Amino acid sequence: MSIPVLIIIAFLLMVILGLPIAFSFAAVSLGFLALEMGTSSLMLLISRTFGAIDSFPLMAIPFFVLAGDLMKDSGISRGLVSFVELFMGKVKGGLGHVTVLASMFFGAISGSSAATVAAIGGIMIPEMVSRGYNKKYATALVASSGFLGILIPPSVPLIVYGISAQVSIARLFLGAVGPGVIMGIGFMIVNRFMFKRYVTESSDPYDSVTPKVSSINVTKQAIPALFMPIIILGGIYSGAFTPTEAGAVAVVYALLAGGLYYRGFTPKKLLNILGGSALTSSVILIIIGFAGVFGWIITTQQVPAKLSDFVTGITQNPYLVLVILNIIYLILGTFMETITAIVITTPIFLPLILALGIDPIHFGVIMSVNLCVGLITPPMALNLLMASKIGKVNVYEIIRPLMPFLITSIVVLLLVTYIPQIVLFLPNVLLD
Amino acid sequence: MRILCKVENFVIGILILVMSLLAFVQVLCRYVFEFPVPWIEELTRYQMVWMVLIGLALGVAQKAHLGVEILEFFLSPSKQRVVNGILMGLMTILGLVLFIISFLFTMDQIEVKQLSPAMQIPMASVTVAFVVGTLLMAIQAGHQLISLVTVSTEKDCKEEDR
Repeated sequence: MSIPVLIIIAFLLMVILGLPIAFSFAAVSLGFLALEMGTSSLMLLISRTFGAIDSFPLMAIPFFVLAGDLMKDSGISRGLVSFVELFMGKVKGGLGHVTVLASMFFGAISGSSAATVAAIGGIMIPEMVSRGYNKKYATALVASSGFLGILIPPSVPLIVYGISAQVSIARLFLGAVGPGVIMGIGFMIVNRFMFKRYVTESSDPYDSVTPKVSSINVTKQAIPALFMPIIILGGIYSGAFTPTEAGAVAVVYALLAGGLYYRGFTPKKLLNILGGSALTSSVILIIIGFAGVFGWIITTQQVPAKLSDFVTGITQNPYLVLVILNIIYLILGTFMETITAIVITTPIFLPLILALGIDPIHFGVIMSVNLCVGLITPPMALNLLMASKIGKVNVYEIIRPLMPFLITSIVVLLLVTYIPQIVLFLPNVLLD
Repeated sequence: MRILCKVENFVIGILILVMSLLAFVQVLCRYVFEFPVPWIEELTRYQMVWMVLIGLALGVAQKAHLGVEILEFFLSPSKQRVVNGILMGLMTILGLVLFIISFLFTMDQIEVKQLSPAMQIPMASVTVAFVVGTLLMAIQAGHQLISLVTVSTEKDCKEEDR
């Protein structure tokens, strides 16, 4: 058997056994270096991993993770929800719409879908249930809306893709806005139609949840939350900050807003948040670190080039290839975590994408939308698990009410795949 | 072991906080004081390297590393224990191997007296993060392996609040 095949089989075996992805990368790379290049080359693993982590663009990941976690626990999400209710509280199915919109707003602050599910679900699931919404439906709605958190920029998965594919993160962020907004609108339409089935008439869904508080007070409570996206995205697109610097600004802003304005932090709580965010980001960064060596090895073994030749030998049609890639990603997304899937597949598929003349920004966003769908498809569906924990319902009971949302997201995925303008319009207009 | 986890948790928490604040100060320096400070970026990068390597070890103890948990659906709890044991064994060995390589790598850095470009500090002070992190990883994975085998009742390092 040829070496590349052996490497990939060994890697897959370790991954399936359950060895963390980062260590599977490291072990396979060590094995390859020792067998192929002699033990003296083993230090390459350390020097290359060090080189990969020692990167300022990568630092955007811990910053946006931390900013999101700080916002989640600071009381800012409460402010956001009340603010959105001002506009949507009186519409039919209003609380459902509030959930979708608040998730989008929160997504503009945080870069992760888990933080979005926790922040918005923690408030909205009990709220909806107390207003006569079916608990399973409310949980499904929160789980689906949660992934808007990574489509609306900033977005940790898009940063990871941008670094792996060496394309502009600012462009990627803008590219995901269109799909994120369309997805949000799609979910609100679904919510409007499902309203009859899942919301009992006896309750009073037209009533705003916070009727006693004046709209001025509600707006006041939400101001820091509403300003944050303006600072982050405005800073990036005016050219004032790099995405990493915007992340640092976001952290300081979240500390000030959460600490001084919402008074949401005690020192102990703050230390817990800091440790948790640092761990979450370390775990992502170490995968990227060890993946660097693995990527280098499979490139020297010409795996991506051979794959690209093989596929272009069968078909040169980019639309057909995108169908195949969509199917691969939908399957991968059901059992593989988002970041992991991006780190593993980007170096393998990127040469193929470039050879077919597909814009790598477009591909990155397609991949993200795909993996978002994976977040709500079992067995490995982080958003479902998270939401079901908050809503205290069994994961498998959510699947039925989830179906319309799942179908909607696949429809949006197809739109995004075959109408590249949905992705490329904003970056082309705003950045050229 | 729980104390070790607490210390690691504290250290990476402080690192991420200081990193954010320093990166913010750098932005301030550039725009407000119009006085760019080149060593800040380097310092934050090195802090991140330390954070990742300590986080690597803590991640093993808290089982926070990302992986594909597909076998869980097919194996009985007793078989899963065996698989867990194998995994922890593999991680212990991997940690030790990485520790040795990192140690040799850092010794090289000391020997050639490599200095960082901006701050002019020895590079070994950064690469030693690999030595510390991988050693801690081996210790923590080994400890988990032992408690799996001996059916220890000692509590895991799981964060209480999560």
